[in-house]
Amino acid sequence: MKTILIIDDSSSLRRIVHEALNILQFNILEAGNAEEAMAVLKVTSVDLLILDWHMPGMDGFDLFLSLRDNPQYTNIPVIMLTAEDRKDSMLKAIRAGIRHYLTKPFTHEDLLARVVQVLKLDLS
Amino acid sequence: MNAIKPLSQKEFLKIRDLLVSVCGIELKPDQDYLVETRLTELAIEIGAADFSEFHRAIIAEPELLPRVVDLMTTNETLWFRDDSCWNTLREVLLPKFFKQLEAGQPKIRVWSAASSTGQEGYSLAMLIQEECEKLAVPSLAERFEILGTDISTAAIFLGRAARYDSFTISRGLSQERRDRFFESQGGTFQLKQSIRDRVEFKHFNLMDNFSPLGIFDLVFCRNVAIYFAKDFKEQLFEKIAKQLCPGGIMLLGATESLFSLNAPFANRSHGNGLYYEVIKKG
Repeated sequence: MKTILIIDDSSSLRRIVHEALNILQFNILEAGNAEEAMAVLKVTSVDLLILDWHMPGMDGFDLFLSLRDNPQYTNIPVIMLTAEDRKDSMLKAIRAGIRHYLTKPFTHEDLLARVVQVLKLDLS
Repeated sequence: MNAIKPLSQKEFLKIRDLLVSVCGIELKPDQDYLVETRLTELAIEIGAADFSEFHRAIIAEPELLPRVVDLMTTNETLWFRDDSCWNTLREVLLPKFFKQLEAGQPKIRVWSAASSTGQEGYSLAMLIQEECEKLAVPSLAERFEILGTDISTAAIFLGRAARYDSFTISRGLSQERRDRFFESQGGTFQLKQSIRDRVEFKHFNLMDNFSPLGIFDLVFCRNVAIYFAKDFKEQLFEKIAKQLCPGGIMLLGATESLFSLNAPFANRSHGNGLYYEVIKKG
């Protein structure tokens, strides 16, 4: 079973994403900030991160950059799920290596479709 | 990290022209960021070093097109979306179909042409069940054949699974229907088998030939053509018209119309709702 880590400072948003992902039966973990995310990543093998941009402390984009530049985590794909909807930010994220960029409000159908694509799940 | 060169303006124009000519998807001049943010993942997956290579790959491998269309469009759907549409179904179209069945027509075929994760087809199946019970002829419900198609493999999978989270289930579905037609399973809601069995799902690309799908009495084509250029809209509606039986009906989204389009349909209205009856020549 694939493991997905949701990183968002809003517990209600984490719960909504958690519920949406439950449809496809993943092992789902949550972190409320970058520090908590790093603690999870140190002890758990994670297949995908769903990451908010604006969080207290280290923001999501900086967290992504630090993971990308760490050989231990560089291959973990990241979907950015954020209220940050400026074109420049979207392009900056994608050019840095974020695999998909979804803006809030999002549809659960789109989120699941992107997760399926990134994890290359066989749905046949 | 895999990488691809940022999209240049020249590449954007080439991809924009290709999307409109082959897929009918029309992008505005300032939507270059959409191409880059939505298609980079696919471009990297197929090994393109830049968007010029990606452009060449789409031309050389048409099987990539459905994935491009899927990424460039949005999967958004609700239960019983647009009240006027469902009022028209309940008050005009279903009574007409029930009469046809009672007069001996073996079945009524319905196509949900962009079914996404199933809400449209399943909403119809629920409504048919309710209306048949009101008429005390529940067996009529079994004579409706509902086909849901979508270009997204993920959407089709989710539609077949018919399991929804609490947020998705709440979008347009009454508590009464939720209690009646779904079973709660650890925070998710599973549609009951009797309604799931009424809808068949198939992966299908609206750019393909429609003939293998057969002839329909009713086609839902709601919020599909909004992405398309005028020529493509006309082609789409012409193709749908060919798959409708005489007197067959097409339903569009609440904000859509056939105004200024050359399409073989007559406008019909009921309350605030519009529906479109096919005009068959000869």
